[in-house]
Amino acid sequence: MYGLVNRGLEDLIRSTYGDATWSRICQTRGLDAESFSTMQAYPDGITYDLVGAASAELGVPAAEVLERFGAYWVLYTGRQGYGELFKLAGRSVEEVLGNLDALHGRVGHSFPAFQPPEFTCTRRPDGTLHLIYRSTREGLAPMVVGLIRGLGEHFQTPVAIEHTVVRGDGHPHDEFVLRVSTPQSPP
Amino acid sequence: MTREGLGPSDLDRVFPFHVAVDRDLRVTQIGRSLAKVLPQLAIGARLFDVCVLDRPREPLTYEVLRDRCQDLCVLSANHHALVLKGQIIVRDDADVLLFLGSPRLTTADELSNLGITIDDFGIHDAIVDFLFLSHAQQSALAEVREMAERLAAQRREVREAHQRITTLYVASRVFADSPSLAIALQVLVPSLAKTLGCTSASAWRQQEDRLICDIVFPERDRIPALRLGMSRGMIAGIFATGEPMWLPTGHNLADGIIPDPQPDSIDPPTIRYSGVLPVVPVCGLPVIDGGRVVGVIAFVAPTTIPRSDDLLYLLGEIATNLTKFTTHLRTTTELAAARDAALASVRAKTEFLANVSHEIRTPLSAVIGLSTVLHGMHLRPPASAVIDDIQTAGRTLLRLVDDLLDESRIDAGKLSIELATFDLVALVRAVASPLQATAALRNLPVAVELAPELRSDLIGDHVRIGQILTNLIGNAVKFTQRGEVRVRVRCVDADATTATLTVAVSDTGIGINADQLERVFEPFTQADGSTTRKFGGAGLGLSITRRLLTLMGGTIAVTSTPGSGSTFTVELRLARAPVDLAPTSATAPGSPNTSRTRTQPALAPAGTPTIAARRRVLVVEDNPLGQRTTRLMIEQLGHDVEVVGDGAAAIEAVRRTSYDLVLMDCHLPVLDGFQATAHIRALPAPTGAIPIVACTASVMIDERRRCFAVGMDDVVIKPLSPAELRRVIESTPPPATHLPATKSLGHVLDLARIEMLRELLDGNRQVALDQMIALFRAHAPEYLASIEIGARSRDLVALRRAAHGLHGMSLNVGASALARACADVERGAATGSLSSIDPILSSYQEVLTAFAALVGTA
Ligand code: HEM
Repeated sequence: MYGLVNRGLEDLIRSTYGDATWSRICQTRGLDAESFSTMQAYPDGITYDLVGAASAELGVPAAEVLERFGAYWVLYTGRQGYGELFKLAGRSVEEVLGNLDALHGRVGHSFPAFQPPEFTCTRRPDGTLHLIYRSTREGLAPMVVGLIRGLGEHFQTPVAIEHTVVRGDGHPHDEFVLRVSTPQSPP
Repeated sequence: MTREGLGPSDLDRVFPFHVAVDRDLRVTQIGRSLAKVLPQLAIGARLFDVCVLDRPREPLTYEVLRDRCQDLCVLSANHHALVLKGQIIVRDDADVLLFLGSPRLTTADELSNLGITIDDFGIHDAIVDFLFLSHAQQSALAEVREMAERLAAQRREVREAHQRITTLYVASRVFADSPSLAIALQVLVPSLAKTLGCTSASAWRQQEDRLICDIVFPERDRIPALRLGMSRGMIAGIFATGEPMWLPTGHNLADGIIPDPQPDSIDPPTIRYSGVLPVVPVCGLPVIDGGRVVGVIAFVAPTTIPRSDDLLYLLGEIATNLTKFTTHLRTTTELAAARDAALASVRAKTEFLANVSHEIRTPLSAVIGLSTVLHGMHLRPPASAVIDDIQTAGRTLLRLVDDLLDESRIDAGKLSIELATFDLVALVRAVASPLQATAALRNLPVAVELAPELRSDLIGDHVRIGQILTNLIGNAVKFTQRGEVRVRVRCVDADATTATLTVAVSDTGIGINADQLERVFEPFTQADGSTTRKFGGAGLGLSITRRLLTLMGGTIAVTSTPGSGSTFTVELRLARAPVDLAPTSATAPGSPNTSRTRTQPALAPAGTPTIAARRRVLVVEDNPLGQRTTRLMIEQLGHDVEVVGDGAAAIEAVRRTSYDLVLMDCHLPVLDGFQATAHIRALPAPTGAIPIVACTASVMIDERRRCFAVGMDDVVIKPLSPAELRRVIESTPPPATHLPATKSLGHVLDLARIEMLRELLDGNRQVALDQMIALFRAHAPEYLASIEIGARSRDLVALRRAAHGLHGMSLNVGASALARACADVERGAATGSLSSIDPILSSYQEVLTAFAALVGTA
């Protein structure tokens, strides 16, 4: 996966648990603590490994690490000069969700080494959003939850998330139903 | 619209930034994204009211747009950031011009300015991908920059760490090697200043109520008599707290410098070294000695330097080590003082013993001497037996004194081993024979077995080896009532340069118990306390024997069966003299009762006639008993004797009368023996060249050296046996052949060589000879000094080189005796042993005396 993801994970752990914790996590996996370059594709194994090590080190389930990471990532990328790209994605939770697929699709074409996910977002009659998440990777649905929560935080728009279809058991992908409130104040 | 033409809604999906105009350039249709960004461009608005044509660079007219429809068309909105790039399509028989385009963007930033998002673009539009790529490129570049900065920072850190480690290393070396605090600071202060990034450093210490500056680095910053108040400033602060200090940036803890001569009048806020750069104190550390702050090392720079944990740590580390160093110095000094005190007391003890031994030896000499004289008078028994007993008792007492003296000298490290070539076989025989005689009186055979392979030309301290043999054989004889004593000397191992000897002395005596066996070599121990009473002696013999052997690199072991006897085995490795070496004067074996003397070259070689010519001897001796003893003995030997009581009288006597020999006591009133000899030697020949033999009760080697140094020819140790006295007297040249000057010269100088020199050097011969002598006089002292230093520092290479040099020089001027002495030492040094240089020193003295006589006489 994209190095920025690993760097995001690193930043989350460094800023919430300290440099020493990050060094320990890297050590347990034999990784150099400062070796991720953001624009490079790394084997997915490294990302899973880091999540696993962080989960062990912090005593938190891997799903929660992923979710926290997702939420953090939105804020992190916003801070790390990705703000402009983020603005390209949209100016509200709904807009961003609507553009997710186009966004990742274009990323996938510009950088053939990446394998970004696919999203379909449709508005349902009851006003909720139906989000389908398709990925070549498994187990990252908690990250989607975190990312959407992050988006909500970013736009100061509370989002209720329901994971309606869980991948596996005959389901090829995950589905979510989202209730997006009106923004509390303009971003 | 043609069949394959796009309907308005399709056109809008694919080209959300399109606009259609009529012949008047009024907007007839507009894409959703363009309408969103540029609301002015509503239906019916005229294009040229809202935009200008950027490309082609022509007025924005219907004709231009129509005619240039093959070209790139760039429209930029008035008063707006939006620039559109695209192409004109002519539709409906030229009634409608359609512009298909998309915003011209270079960075993603511009997007937010325009308020557009990804879905405002047509899916085919590559501008978005371009933005992704450009963003990726920028972030990659940013990352490279960041990496480069981090790398540079790391390099800097490594450099600084290296500098810190270097400083710590320098400090550790300085602390390990410096003999004093001042020297340590001289090295440490500059090194620390460099590491801390400070331009100058100084070391301060308290003097009364001021701090004064000892060391300034760099030296050019020194101001004479820099003084500092102790009430304020960083240096005073460190002095008061005893803690390293690093001033925070922007501090106002400036030090008040007080320049002399008006110590209190000026108190500038900053230290100003050499008046060039105003500098501020940065940091410093205390110098602690004995738990007290004794000084401060302060560092200054043109501006404050930000405090760094690493450097502060370094300061603390150095401060700690500095304290350890001063503590270490203190203990070493105290230890050295304690050691010196201990050594001094040992030396005092040794000197005391030496003095006591001298005091004891003098009257003892008289007792033994007088009894010998009485013995010579052939008294009748029982008087003769009584005299024999007196003599035996006297000699035993003398042995005891000598043993005590040896023991204390070994303790004080003052006993040195003198190396010379000697004849082992002769030595063993000489030692054994008197003991055999004593044992024979008790019907105790003493068998001496000398292995045939024994070499007689060995280099060693024959006196000490003789002493060891005497001790071992003497003990065996003493403790054996019947049976026999057997002495076996073997050579167990030999190569070209060394030989390993074993001497086994077995007896059939009382033997030693296993538990006592361990202690027999301890001082003041005998196998049984009662043996002391029964057999006499202080129990020092074996202790000295072992210690002497240790000094010579040898060993001694003992095996014993109580009741049936003991065997003492000595093993000793000695250097072998070169084969061609003819026995020199030093080969004379010491016999138990002879003193450690050598026949000096100034005296005639051994083998003088048995019926000696009558000599005239001057005895210089202050002790009346000694005077009488010596006089009687000399008279018994059939020579003339005169006695004077002090050195001044001796000089007077030799001036007045011509003697064949002066027997000079060293310790005399008015003028001692050394001074008197020096005076006599300064007299013109023949008086100045008269043989002088020191006669002393002291056995200290230093004293013997002194004797030779002042120009005495020989040293004999009191008490003198008649035999010794005869040897000394009769080895002087007999008066009949005693030609003035030249005779004694002949022993010092090779006269034939001198003659040859005279022949060889044509012209004014005497002048040439004088020049040769002058040359010798000028250069010999240098060699002599090197020889003395070489011998003292046991530098055999230097010794050998210097002896070789003097050897050659001596041969040139015909100083044959000196040349021989040099050759001996040179050869000794070459075989790795240090021979005594005394013969060189004394021969040299003689050569000078001889030259004094020669120059201007011929
Ligand atoms: C500026 C905004 C964003 C950009 C540029 C972006 C870009 C990317 C990139 C480059 C990857 C990695 C693809 C790979 O390494 O193969 C990725 C993965 C992912 N993104 Fe985004 N993303 C953005 C926002 C979002 C948002 C808001 C969501 C919210 C759902 C999201 C969901 C995901 C997920 C779940 C993955 C995991 C990959 C997988 O499931 O296979 N992304 N994204």
